[in-house]
Amino acid sequence: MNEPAADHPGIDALCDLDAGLLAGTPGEADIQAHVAGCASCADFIALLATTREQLAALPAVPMPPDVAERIDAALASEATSDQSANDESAPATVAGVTPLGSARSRRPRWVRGASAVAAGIALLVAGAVGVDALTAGNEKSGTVSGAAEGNSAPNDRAQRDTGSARNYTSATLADGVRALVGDRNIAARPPQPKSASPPLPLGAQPDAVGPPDLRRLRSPAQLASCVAELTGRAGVRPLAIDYATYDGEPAVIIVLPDADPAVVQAWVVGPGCSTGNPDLRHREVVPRTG
Amino acid sequence: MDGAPEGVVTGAPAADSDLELVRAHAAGDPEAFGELVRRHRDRLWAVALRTLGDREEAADALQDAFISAFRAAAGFRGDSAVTTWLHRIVVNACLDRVRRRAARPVAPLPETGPDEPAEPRDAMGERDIRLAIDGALARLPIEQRSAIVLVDIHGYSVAETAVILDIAEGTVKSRCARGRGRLAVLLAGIRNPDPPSDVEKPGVES
Repeated sequence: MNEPAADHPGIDALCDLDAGLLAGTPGEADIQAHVAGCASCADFIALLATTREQLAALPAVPMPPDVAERIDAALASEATSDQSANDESAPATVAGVTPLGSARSRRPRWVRGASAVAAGIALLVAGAVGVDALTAGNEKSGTVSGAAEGNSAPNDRAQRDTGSARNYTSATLADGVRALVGDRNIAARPPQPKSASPPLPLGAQPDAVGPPDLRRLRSPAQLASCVAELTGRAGVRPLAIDYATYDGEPAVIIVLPDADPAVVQAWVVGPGCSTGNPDLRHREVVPRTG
Repeated sequence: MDGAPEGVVTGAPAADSDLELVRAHAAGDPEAFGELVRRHRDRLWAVALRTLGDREEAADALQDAFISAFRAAAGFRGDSAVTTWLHRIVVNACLDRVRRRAARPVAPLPETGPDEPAEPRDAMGERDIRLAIDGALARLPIEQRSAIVLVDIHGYSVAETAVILDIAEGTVKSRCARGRGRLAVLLAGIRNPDPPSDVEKPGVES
């Protein structure tokens, strides 16, 4: 009012001043002096204070009973499938053959339907080029949300969870990891010398392939504690998992998101990876595009 | 602003029993996780609802988050308080949803339009202000909104919010600062029946 409008600091600068973000900066004193003599800017600062008060005064919103019931039911269902997964883990995978039904039953109900259908179709055409076109839709969401550093979706089994039985080496890891997270057509790639059987479609039957030494890490809880050991915190969701070998030794390739979206972190761990023991064999940052 | 809820950063008394519940759940106690959920679900619900601005989406996100926490609990190492860990999972579930629906505009909470005050301006009661705030919140970019929800609405410290959102403390402060400014501008027209034109001049003219 008293001074020309052009002298006003911007709204952002006033917000920063209000939040104490300008403390110690050269501009702080100037803006403070301006606000002290400018009614409109002082009003805006007061408005910020009022806004903060109103936000703090918003009432609590208890969870509605129907939502609470729904979540209780989902957790009960999860507890049941968790229990059956434990029951099944012993007899499974002698020669790497797990009945599809029991492998599927570890998925929560709402994932199971879709992936069972996809897996069924995929098995019919296993080995054929183009299998991934059928599953790419599912995997895309898993990859995207994982890249966003999410750690919580119920479809976390939609991450690329493969048991390729490939033998990775330090020379081939980067390409292999890019294939896991980026290339929709990994199943159609020329198999590595070691994988004599037809490549399995991604996610079709992850419990049935891969070295048996890695069986323990197929448990979501065990895998989660391994990942937590690597990252130092719980809840990071891998972009891709491959039960494979590294330099000829059984190893799990765990691909994690990085703060830099242009790269991913490739962790190679042995069968012992768990809380307190990463059993780390190799670690590498891999650019998403090679 | 730093009036953190109990036990979140440094682990006050309540955090220990949360941790015991997590450990019990990991050890196979079938009741433990349900107790943990019951203990914190109201607060987590409020965070999800205000972050997403949509009841159904918030319910979906919370369900996703609790399932995820159920599975991940075995790997919880106690580096942060259990409540921080739970909030982190819930907020990430919310952000996941927002990013997936990025093409769609954010839906405001029911009962209010994003652009219009729900009542004539001179009749703004407390409830209408709340609705207006919800509507204005829905118009913030998700990065600002999630920070404002945690710090300004739910009273988490900047430090804990930084852990929950996995960003630097300075980033939390600046997102809150800018988000507040935006809210203030959005709400100004509602709050002041005849807003003096100079209220908005600073941003326009500089």
